[in-house]
Amino acid sequence: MVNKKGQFKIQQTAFMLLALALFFILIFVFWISIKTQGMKTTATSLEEEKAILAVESIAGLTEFSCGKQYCIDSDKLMILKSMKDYADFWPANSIKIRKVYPESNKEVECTLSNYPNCNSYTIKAGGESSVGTFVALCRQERINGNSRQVCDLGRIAIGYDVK
Amino acid sequence: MDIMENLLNFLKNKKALEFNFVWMFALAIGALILFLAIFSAGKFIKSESYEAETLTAKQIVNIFETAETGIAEGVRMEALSLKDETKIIDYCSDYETFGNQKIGISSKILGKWQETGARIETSNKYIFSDDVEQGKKFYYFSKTFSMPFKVAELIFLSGKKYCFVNAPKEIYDEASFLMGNLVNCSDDTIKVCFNRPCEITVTGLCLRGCDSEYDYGTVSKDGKTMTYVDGLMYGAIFASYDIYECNVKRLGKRLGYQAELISKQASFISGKCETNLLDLSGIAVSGKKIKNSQDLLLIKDSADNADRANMAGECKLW
Repeated sequence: MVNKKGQFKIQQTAFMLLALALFFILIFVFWISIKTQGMKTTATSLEEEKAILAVESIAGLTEFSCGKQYCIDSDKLMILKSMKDYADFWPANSIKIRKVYPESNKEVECTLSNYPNCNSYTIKAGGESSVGTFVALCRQERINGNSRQVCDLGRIAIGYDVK
Repeated sequence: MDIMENLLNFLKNKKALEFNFVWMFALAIGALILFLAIFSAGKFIKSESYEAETLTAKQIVNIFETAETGIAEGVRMEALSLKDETKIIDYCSDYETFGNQKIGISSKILGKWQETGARIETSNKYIFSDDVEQGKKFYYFSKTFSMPFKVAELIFLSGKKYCFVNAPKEIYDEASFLMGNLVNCSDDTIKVCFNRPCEITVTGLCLRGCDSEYDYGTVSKDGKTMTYVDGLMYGAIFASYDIYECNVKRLGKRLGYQAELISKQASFISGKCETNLLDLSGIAVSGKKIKNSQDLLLIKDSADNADRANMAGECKLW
Protein backbone atom coordinates (compact mmCIF):
# COMPACT_ATOMS: atom_id res chain seq x y z
CA MET A 1 0.00 0.00 0.00
CA VAL A 2 2.86 2.39 1.01
CA ASN A 3 4.84 1.46 -2.09
CA LYS A 4 1.91 2.21 -4.38
CA LYS A 5 1.47 5.64 -2.80
CA GLY A 6 5.19 6.38 -3.37
CA GLN A 7 5.00 5.24 -6.97
CA PHE A 8 1.95 7.41 -7.53
CA LYS A 9 3.81 10.43 -6.12
CA ILE A 10 6.80 9.79 -8.40
CA GLN A 11 4.46 9.48 -11.38
CA GLN A 12 2.69 12.66 -10.32
CA THR A 13 6.01 14.54 -10.13
CA ALA A 14 7.19 13.13 -13.46
CA PHE A 15 3.98 14.15 -15.24
CA MET A 16 4.12 17.58 -13.65
CA LEU A 17 7.71 18.02 -14.86
CA LEU A 18 6.81 16.75 -18.31
CA ALA A 19 3.93 19.24 -18.50
CA LEU A 20 6.24 22.01 -17.30
CA ALA A 21 8.88 21.10 -19.89
CA LEU A 22 6.25 21.05 -22.65
CA PHE A 23 4.99 24.43 -21.47
CA PHE A 24 8.49 25.92 -21.66
CA ILE A 25 9.09 24.33 -25.09
CA LEU A 26 5.82 25.89 -26.32
CA ILE A 27 6.85 29.31 -24.98
CA PHE A 28 10.28 28.90 -26.62
CA VAL A 29 8.78 27.91 -30.02
CA PHE A 30 6.34 30.83 -29.79
CA TRP A 31 9.16 33.25 -28.93
CA ILE A 32 11.36 31.91 -31.75
CA SER A 33 8.56 32.38 -34.33
CA ILE A 34 7.88 35.96 -33.15
CA LYS A 35 11.62 36.72 -33.12
CA THR A 36 12.16 35.22 -36.61
CA GLN A 37 9.20 37.18 -37.98
CA GLY A 38 10.61 40.38 -36.44
CA MET A 39 14.05 39.72 -37.90
CA LYS A 40 12.57 39.00 -41.34
CA THR A 41 10.59 42.26 -41.24
CA THR A 42 13.69 44.22 -40.20
CA ALA A 43 15.82 42.53 -42.88
CA THR A 44 13.22 43.26 -45.58
CA SER A 45 12.90 46.91 -44.54
CA LEU A 46 16.72 47.29 -44.58
CA GLU A 47 16.87 45.68 -48.03
CA GLU A 48 14.12 48.04 -49.22
CA GLU A 49 15.99 51.03 -47.76
CA LYS A 50 19.17 49.87 -49.52
CA ALA A 51 17.26 49.52 -52.81
CA ILE A 52 15.74 53.03 -52.44
CA LEU A 53 19.20 54.50 -51.82
CA ALA A 54 20.71 52.48 -54.68
CA VAL A 55 18.07 53.62 -57.16
CA GLU A 56 19.05 57.22 -56.39
CA SER A 57 22.76 56.59 -56.86
CA ILE A 58 23.06 53.97 -59.58
CA ALA A 59 22.29 56.36 -62.45
CA GLY A 60 25.32 58.41 -61.35
CA LEU A 61 27.80 55.53 -61.72
CA THR A 62 30.17 55.73 -64.68
CA GLU A 63 28.94 52.31 -65.86
CA PHE A 64 25.42 53.76 -66.39
CA SER A 65 25.71 57.52 -66.61
CA CYS A 66 25.44 59.58 -69.78
CA GLY A 67 27.30 62.40 -68.02
CA LYS A 68 24.27 64.26 -66.72
CA GLN A 69 22.34 63.76 -63.52
CA TYR A 70 19.61 61.08 -63.63
CA CYS A 71 20.62 60.18 -67.16
CA ILE A 72 21.43 56.64 -68.31
CA ASP A 73 23.37 55.88 -71.47
CA SER A 74 21.62 53.01 -73.28
CA ASP A 75 24.72 52.40 -75.47
CA LYS A 76 26.61 51.61 -72.25
CA LEU A 77 23.77 49.33 -71.13
CA MET A 78 24.20 47.23 -74.26
CA ILE A 79 27.89 46.72 -73.42
CA LEU A 80 27.20 46.22 -69.72
CA LYS A 81 24.71 43.44 -70.46
CA SER A 82 27.51 41.41 -72.01
CA MET A 83 30.10 42.00 -69.25
CA LYS A 84 29.60 39.04 -66.93
CA ASP A 85 32.27 40.26 -64.48
CA TYR A 86 29.80 42.82 -63.17
CA ALA A 87 27.16 40.20 -62.27
CA ASP A 88 27.74 40.23 -58.49
CA PHE A 89 28.98 43.78 -58.22
CA TRP A 90 25.76 45.76 -57.96
CA PRO A 91 24.19 46.65 -54.62
CA ALA A 92 20.87 45.20 -55.77
CA ASN A 93 19.19 41.87 -56.44
CA SER A 94 17.99 43.04 -59.84
CA ILE A 95 18.47 46.03 -62.13
CA LYS A 96 16.07 46.64 -64.96
CA ILE A 97 15.70 49.74 -67.10
CA ARG A 98 12.64 50.21 -69.27
CA LYS A 99 11.78 52.87 -71.82
CA VAL A 100 8.39 54.26 -70.77
CA TYR A 101 8.00 57.06 -73.33
CA PRO A 102 7.50 56.84 -76.30
CA GLU A 103 5.14 54.15 -75.05
CA SER A 104 4.92 50.65 -76.48
CA ASN A 105 2.50 47.86 -75.58
CA LYS A 106 4.93 44.99 -75.71
CA GLU A 107 8.09 44.58 -73.62
CA VAL A 108 10.99 43.79 -75.95
CA GLU A 109 14.33 42.93 -74.35
CA CYS A 110 17.20 44.73 -76.09
CA THR A 111 19.80 42.62 -77.88
CA LEU A 112 22.57 43.54 -80.31
CA SER A 113 20.28 42.53 -83.18
CA ASN A 114 17.23 44.64 -82.27
CA TYR A 115 18.84 47.69 -80.58
CA PRO A 116 17.57 50.47 -80.45
CA ASN A 117 14.14 49.15 -81.53
CA CYS A 118 13.45 47.66 -78.12
CA ASN A 119 12.41 48.94 -74.72
CA SER A 120 13.84 46.80 -71.92
CA TYR A 121 17.38 46.31 -70.55
CA THR A 122 17.87 43.64 -67.89
CA ILE A 123 21.29 44.16 -66.31
CA LYS A 124 20.66 41.75 -63.46
CA ALA A 125 17.65 39.46 -63.10
CA GLY A 126 15.96 38.51 -59.82
CA GLY A 127 14.39 40.27 -56.83
CA GLU A 128 10.84 39.73 -55.66
CA SER A 129 9.92 43.40 -55.13
CA SER A 130 11.32 46.54 -56.64
CA VAL A 131 11.58 50.29 -56.23
CA GLY A 132 12.18 52.65 -59.10
CA THR A 133 12.63 56.15 -60.38
CA PHE A 134 12.36 57.91 -63.72
CA VAL A 135 15.49 58.74 -65.69
CA ALA A 136 16.48 60.08 -69.08
CA LEU A 137 17.53 57.19 -71.35
CA CYS A 138 19.92 58.54 -73.96
CA ARG A 139 21.89 57.13 -76.90
CA GLN A 140 24.04 58.47 -79.74
CA GLU A 141 22.45 58.75 -83.18
CA ARG A 142 23.62 60.22 -86.46
CA ILE A 143 20.81 62.34 -87.91
CA ASN A 144 21.29 64.12 -91.26
CA GLY A 145 25.02 63.56 -90.98
CA ASN A 146 25.22 65.12 -87.54
CA SER A 147 25.89 63.26 -84.36
CA ARG A 148 23.17 63.80 -81.75
CA GLN A 149 22.19 62.50 -78.37
CA VAL A 150 18.63 61.14 -78.55
CA CYS A 151 16.80 60.75 -75.27
CA ASP A 152 13.64 58.95 -74.18
CA LEU A 153 11.97 58.70 -70.81
CA GLY A 154 12.96 55.59 -68.90
CA ARG A 155 12.40 53.99 -65.53
CA ILE A 156 15.07 52.20 -63.55
CA ALA A 157 13.84 49.52 -61.16
CA ILE A 158 16.01 48.05 -58.41
CA GLY A 159 14.86 44.74 -56.99
CA TYR A 160 15.19 43.32 -53.51
CA ASP A 161 14.18 40.10 -51.83
CA VAL A 162 11.30 39.95 -49.37
CA LYS A 163 12.50 37.75 -46.48
CA MET B 1 6.04 22.76 27.09
CA ASP B 2 4.07 21.22 24.18
CA ILE B 3 6.36 22.90 21.71
CA MET B 4 9.48 21.49 23.35
CA GLU B 5 7.90 18.05 23.35
CA ASN B 6 7.02 18.28 19.65
CA LEU B 7 10.54 19.41 18.77
CA LEU B 8 12.07 16.51 20.71
CA ASN B 9 9.72 14.10 18.96
CA PHE B 10 10.66 15.61 15.59
CA LEU B 11 14.37 15.23 16.29
CA LYS B 12 13.90 11.66 17.51
CA ASN B 13 11.79 10.79 14.47
CA LYS B 14 14.38 9.73 11.89
CA LYS B 15 11.73 9.43 9.18
CA ALA B 16 11.13 13.21 9.21
CA LEU B 17 14.67 13.82 7.91
CA GLU B 18 14.53 11.09 5.29
CA PHE B 19 15.87 12.29 1.93
CA ASN B 20 13.66 10.11 -0.25
CA PHE B 21 13.68 9.66 -4.06
CA VAL B 22 10.92 12.24 -4.67
CA TRP B 23 13.05 14.92 -3.03
CA MET B 24 16.18 13.91 -4.94
CA PHE B 25 14.28 13.80 -8.21
CA ALA B 26 12.63 17.18 -7.63
CA LEU B 27 15.95 18.80 -6.64
CA ALA B 28 17.77 17.38 -9.67
CA ILE B 29 15.07 18.52 -12.08
CA GLY B 30 14.80 21.87 -10.28
CA ALA B 31 18.55 22.40 -10.68
CA LEU B 32 18.30 21.39 -14.33
CA ILE B 33 15.46 23.86 -14.95
CA LEU B 34 17.40 26.61 -13.15
CA PHE B 35 20.54 25.85 -15.18
CA LEU B 36 18.57 25.85 -18.44
CA ALA B 37 16.88 29.16 -17.50
CA ILE B 38 20.23 30.86 -16.73
CA PHE B 39 21.84 29.34 -19.83
CA SER B 40 18.93 30.47 -22.06
CA ALA B 41 19.00 33.98 -20.57
CA GLY B 42 22.73 34.20 -21.34
CA LYS B 43 22.21 32.95 -24.89
CA PHE B 44 19.25 35.30 -25.32
CA ILE B 45 21.30 38.36 -24.25
CA LYS B 46 24.17 37.27 -26.53
CA SER B 47 21.89 36.76 -29.55
CA GLU B 48 20.13 40.10 -28.90
CA SER B 49 23.51 41.83 -28.77
CA TYR B 50 24.71 40.04 -31.94
CA GLU B 51 21.51 41.08 -33.73
CA ALA B 52 21.89 44.71 -32.60
CA GLU B 53 25.53 44.84 -33.76
CA THR B 54 24.59 43.36 -37.15
CA LEU B 55 21.73 45.83 -37.53
CA THR B 56 24.02 48.78 -36.77
CA ALA B 57 26.60 47.54 -39.31
CA LYS B 58 23.89 47.18 -41.97
CA GLN B 59 22.55 50.67 -41.21
CA ILE B 60 26.05 52.18 -41.46
CA VAL B 61 26.64 50.52 -44.85
CA ASN B 62 23.22 51.80 -45.99
CA ILE B 63 24.16 55.34 -44.86
CA PHE B 64 27.28 55.11 -47.04
CA GLU B 65 25.02 54.45 -50.03
CA THR B 66 24.02 58.13 -49.80
CA ALA B 67 27.66 59.00 -50.52
CA GLU B 68 27.11 58.16 -54.19
CA THR B 69 26.34 61.64 -55.31
CA GLY B 70 25.83 61.40 -59.02
CA ILE B 71 27.88 64.15 -60.58
CA ALA B 72 28.35 66.24 -57.43
CA GLU B 73 31.88 66.74 -56.13
CA GLY B 74 32.60 66.12 -52.45
CA VAL B 75 29.85 65.70 -49.94
CA ARG B 76 30.05 66.85 -46.38
CA MET B 77 28.22 64.53 -44.10
CA GLU B 78 27.02 64.67 -40.53
CA ALA B 79 28.75 62.91 -37.68
CA LEU B 80 27.60 59.42 -36.88
CA SER B 81 26.70 59.30 -33.18
CA LEU B 82 26.18 55.98 -31.42
CA LYS B 83 24.72 55.36 -27.96
CA ASP B 84 27.53 53.19 -26.60
CA GLU B 85 31.29 53.14 -27.04
CA THR B 86 31.64 51.26 -30.33
CA LYS B 87 34.33 49.67 -32.46
CA ILE B 88 33.83 49.83 -36.24
CA ILE B 89 35.98 47.07 -37.70
CA ASP B 90 36.92 47.44 -41.36
CA TYR B 91 37.87 44.28 -43.26
CA CYS B 92 39.12 44.71 -46.83
CA SER B 93 39.79 42.07 -49.46
CA ASP B 94 41.14 42.67 -52.95
CA TYR B 95 40.50 39.09 -54.13
CA GLU B 96 37.83 38.17 -56.68
CA THR B 97 36.79 40.43 -59.54
CA PHE B 98 36.25 43.70 -57.68
CA GLY B 99 37.27 42.79 -54.12
CA ASN B 100 35.03 43.78 -51.25
CA GLN B 101 34.87 45.40 -47.85
CA LYS B 102 33.10 44.16 -44.75
CA ILE B 103 32.03 46.21 -41.77
CA GLY B 104 31.69 44.66 -38.32
CA ILE B 105 30.45 46.34 -35.14
CA SER B 106 31.23 45.65 -31.50
CA SER B 107 29.80 47.71 -28.63
CA LYS B 108 30.90 48.10 -25.05
CA ILE B 109 28.02 47.29 -22.75
CA LEU B 110 28.47 47.35 -18.95
CA GLY B 111 32.23 47.70 -19.44
CA LYS B 112 32.51 44.57 -21.60
CA TRP B 113 33.08 44.45 -25.36
CA GLN B 114 30.37 42.38 -27.03
CA GLU B 115 31.00 39.80 -29.71
CA THR B 116 31.31 41.42 -33.16
CA GLY B 117 28.07 41.11 -35.13
CA ALA B 118 27.80 39.66 -38.63
CA ARG B 119 30.09 41.42 -41.11
CA ILE B 120 28.13 43.35 -43.69
CA GLU B 121 29.71 43.11 -47.13
CA THR B 122 29.82 45.74 -49.84
CA SER B 123 31.54 45.41 -53.22
CA ASN B 124 30.96 48.88 -54.59
CA LYS B 125 31.95 51.03 -51.60
CA TYR B 126 35.50 52.16 -50.86
CA ILE B 127 35.71 52.96 -47.15
CA PHE B 128 38.97 54.46 -45.90
CA SER B 129 39.37 54.07 -42.17
CA ASP B 130 41.71 52.58 -39.62
CA ASP B 131 41.45 48.79 -39.15
CA VAL B 132 39.45 49.51 -36.00
CA GLU B 133 37.82 52.88 -35.35
CA GLN B 134 36.72 53.33 -31.76
CA GLY B 135 34.49 55.92 -30.12
CA LYS B 136 30.94 57.13 -29.73
CA LYS B 137 31.09 59.72 -32.48
CA PHE B 138 32.46 59.10 -35.97
CA TYR B 139 32.94 61.55 -38.80
CA TYR B 140 32.59 60.62 -42.44
CA PHE B 141 32.57 62.38 -45.77
CA SER B 142 32.98 61.45 -49.40
CA LYS B 143 34.94 62.66 -52.39
CA THR B 144 34.83 61.64 -56.02
CA PHE B 145 37.84 59.78 -57.40
CA SER B 146 38.35 60.34 -61.13
CA MET B 147 41.01 58.89 -63.42
CA PRO B 148 40.14 60.45 -65.86
CA PHE B 149 36.42 59.56 -65.63
CA LYS B 150 34.66 59.08 -62.31
CA VAL B 151 35.81 55.76 -60.89
CA ALA B 152 33.97 55.80 -57.57
CA GLU B 153 32.93 57.81 -54.59
CA LEU B 154 35.51 57.42 -51.82
CA ILE B 155 34.22 57.32 -48.24
CA PHE B 156 36.44 58.52 -45.42
CA LEU B 157 35.55 57.45 -41.89
CA SER B 158 37.29 58.34 -38.64
CA GLY B 159 36.61 58.58 -34.95
CA LYS B 160 39.69 60.70 -34.30
CA LYS B 161 40.33 64.44 -34.53
CA TYR B 162 42.87 65.85 -36.98
CA CYS B 163 44.64 69.16 -37.39
CA PHE B 164 46.36 70.32 -40.58
CA VAL B 165 49.71 72.10 -40.28
CA ASN B 166 51.22 74.15 -43.12
CA ALA B 167 48.44 73.07 -45.50
CA PRO B 168 47.97 75.14 -48.66
CA LYS B 169 44.85 77.33 -48.47
CA GLU B 170 42.83 75.35 -51.04
CA ILE B 171 43.41 72.07 -49.20
CA TYR B 172 42.71 73.63 -45.80
CA ASP B 173 39.47 75.19 -47.07
CA GLU B 174 38.32 71.97 -48.71
CA ALA B 175 39.22 69.89 -45.65
CA SER B 176 37.45 72.35 -43.33
CA PHE B 177 34.34 72.10 -45.48
CA LEU B 178 34.36 68.32 -45.83
CA MET B 179 35.66 67.20 -42.45
CA GLY B 180 33.67 67.81 -39.31
CA ASN B 181 36.71 66.73 -37.29
CA LEU B 182 39.29 69.25 -38.51
CA VAL B 183 40.32 71.33 -35.49
CA ASN B 184 43.16 73.42 -34.10
CA CYS B 185 46.14 71.39 -32.91
CA SER B 186 46.15 70.17 -29.31
CA ASP B 187 47.46 67.14 -27.40
CA ASP B 188 44.56 64.87 -28.36
CA THR B 189 44.62 65.65 -32.08
CA ILE B 190 46.55 63.91 -34.82
CA LYS B 191 48.86 66.31 -36.66
CA VAL B 192 48.90 66.20 -40.45
CA CYS B 193 51.84 68.24 -41.75
CA PHE B 194 52.42 69.33 -45.33
CA ASN B 195 56.05 69.15 -46.48
CA ARG B 196 57.12 69.03 -42.84
CA PRO B 197 57.78 65.84 -40.85
CA CYS B 198 55.32 64.92 -38.07
CA GLU B 199 52.85 62.10 -37.18
CA ILE B 200 51.39 62.13 -40.68
CA THR B 201 53.43 63.82 -43.39
CA VAL B 202 52.01 64.77 -46.78
CA THR B 203 54.57 65.42 -49.52
CA GLY B 204 53.44 66.99 -52.78
CA LEU B 205 55.19 65.72 -55.91
CA CYS B 206 53.40 67.57 -58.71
CA LEU B 207 55.76 70.17 -60.18
CA ARG B 208 54.31 71.02 -63.62
CA GLY B 209 50.83 71.32 -65.11
CA CYS B 210 48.97 70.94 -61.86
CA ASP B 211 46.53 72.99 -59.78
CA SER B 212 48.60 72.38 -56.66
CA GLU B 213 51.83 70.55 -55.86
CA TYR B 214 49.65 68.20 -53.79
CA ASP B 215 47.63 66.99 -56.82
CA TYR B 216 49.61 63.81 -56.31
CA GLY B 217 52.29 62.80 -53.85
CA THR B 218 52.96 60.63 -50.84
CA VAL B 219 51.64 60.31 -47.30
CA SER B 220 53.95 58.86 -44.64
CA LYS B 221 52.76 57.50 -41.32
CA ASP B 222 53.75 54.71 -38.93
CA GLY B 223 56.99 54.32 -40.91
CA LYS B 224 55.15 53.47 -44.13
CA THR B 225 54.67 55.54 -47.27
CA MET B 226 51.57 55.53 -49.45
CA THR B 227 51.33 57.15 -52.86
CA TYR B 228 48.16 59.12 -53.60
CA VAL B 229 46.49 60.77 -56.55
CA ASP B 230 43.62 63.24 -56.34
CA GLY B 231 41.14 62.64 -53.46
CA LEU B 232 43.02 59.56 -52.32
CA MET B 233 45.15 61.93 -50.20
CA TYR B 234 42.40 61.90 -47.53
CA GLY B 235 42.28 58.11 -47.81
CA ALA B 236 46.00 57.85 -47.07
CA ILE B 237 45.61 60.22 -44.10
CA PHE B 238 42.65 58.42 -42.50
CA ALA B 239 43.17 54.77 -43.43
CA SER B 240 45.60 52.23 -42.12
CA TYR B 241 48.30 51.18 -44.58
CA ASP B 242 46.62 47.80 -45.29
CA ILE B 243 43.14 49.25 -45.82
CA TYR B 244 44.56 51.97 -48.09
CA GLU B 245 46.59 49.62 -50.29
CA CYS B 246 43.69 47.14 -50.46
CA ASN B 247 41.25 49.87 -51.53
CA VAL B 248 43.73 51.21 -54.11
CA LYS B 249 43.87 47.71 -55.66
CA ARG B 250 40.05 47.50 -55.62
CA LEU B 251 39.81 50.94 -57.25
CA GLY B 252 42.36 49.83 -59.86
CA LYS B 253 40.23 46.81 -60.73
CA ARG B 254 37.10 48.98 -60.98
CA LEU B 255 38.98 51.45 -63.19
CA GLY B 256 40.18 48.57 -65.38
CA TYR B 257 36.66 47.25 -66.00
CA GLN B 258 35.30 50.77 -66.57
CA ALA B 259 38.07 51.44 -69.13
CA GLU B 260 37.14 48.17 -70.86
CA LEU B 261 33.47 49.19 -70.93
CA ILE B 262 34.21 52.67 -72.32
CA SER B 263 36.56 51.20 -74.94
CA LYS B 264 33.82 48.84 -76.11
CA GLN B 265 31.31 51.71 -76.06
CA ALA B 266 33.60 53.78 -78.29
CA SER B 267 33.65 50.93 -80.86
CA PHE B 268 29.89 50.38 -80.49
CA ILE B 269 28.98 53.98 -81.36
CA SER B 270 31.83 54.57 -83.85
CA GLY B 271 29.42 54.65 -86.82
CA LYS B 272 27.29 57.31 -85.16
CA CYS B 273 29.84 59.48 -83.48
CA GLU B 274 33.61 60.01 -83.67
CA THR B 275 35.14 59.68 -80.24
CA ASN B 276 38.81 60.29 -81.08
CA LEU B 277 39.54 58.05 -78.15
CA LEU B 278 42.95 56.50 -77.88
CA ASP B 279 43.13 52.90 -76.90
CA LEU B 280 42.06 52.51 -73.26
CA SER B 281 43.34 48.94 -73.07
CA GLY B 282 46.53 50.16 -71.37
CA ILE B 283 44.50 51.67 -68.51
CA ALA B 284 42.30 48.56 -68.41
CA VAL B 285 45.24 46.17 -68.08
CA SER B 286 47.27 48.36 -65.67
CA GLY B 287 44.18 48.99 -63.53
CA LYS B 288 43.25 45.33 -63.19
CA LYS B 289 46.84 44.35 -62.39
CA ILE B 290 47.75 47.21 -60.05
CA LYS B 291 50.22 45.93 -57.42
CA ASN B 292 50.41 48.87 -55.02
CA SER B 293 49.69 52.59 -54.71
CA GLN B 294 52.95 53.52 -56.51
CA ASP B 295 51.43 52.17 -59.76
CA LEU B 296 48.82 54.96 -59.54
CA LEU B 297 51.33 57.46 -60.94
CA LEU B 298 51.88 55.35 -64.08
CA ILE B 299 48.13 54.97 -64.65
CA LYS B 300 47.67 58.71 -64.08
CA ASP B 301 49.91 59.49 -67.07
CA SER B 302 47.85 57.24 -69.38
CA ALA B 303 44.63 58.68 -67.90
CA ASP B 304 45.73 62.27 -68.60
CA ASN B 305 46.51 61.36 -72.24
CA ALA B 306 43.12 59.66 -72.62
CA ASP B 307 41.39 62.70 -71.13
CA ARG B 308 43.03 65.02 -73.68
CA ALA B 309 42.02 62.70 -76.54
CA ASN B 310 38.44 62.52 -75.26
CA MET B 311 38.17 66.30 -75.05
CA ALA B 312 39.24 66.65 -78.68
CA GLY B 313 36.64 64.17 -79.96
CA GLU B 314 33.28 64.96 -81.55
CA CYS B 315 31.62 62.80 -78.95
CA LYS B 316 32.82 62.91 -75.39
CA LEU B 317 32.58 59.65 -73.53
CA TRP B 318 32.88 61.22 -70.05
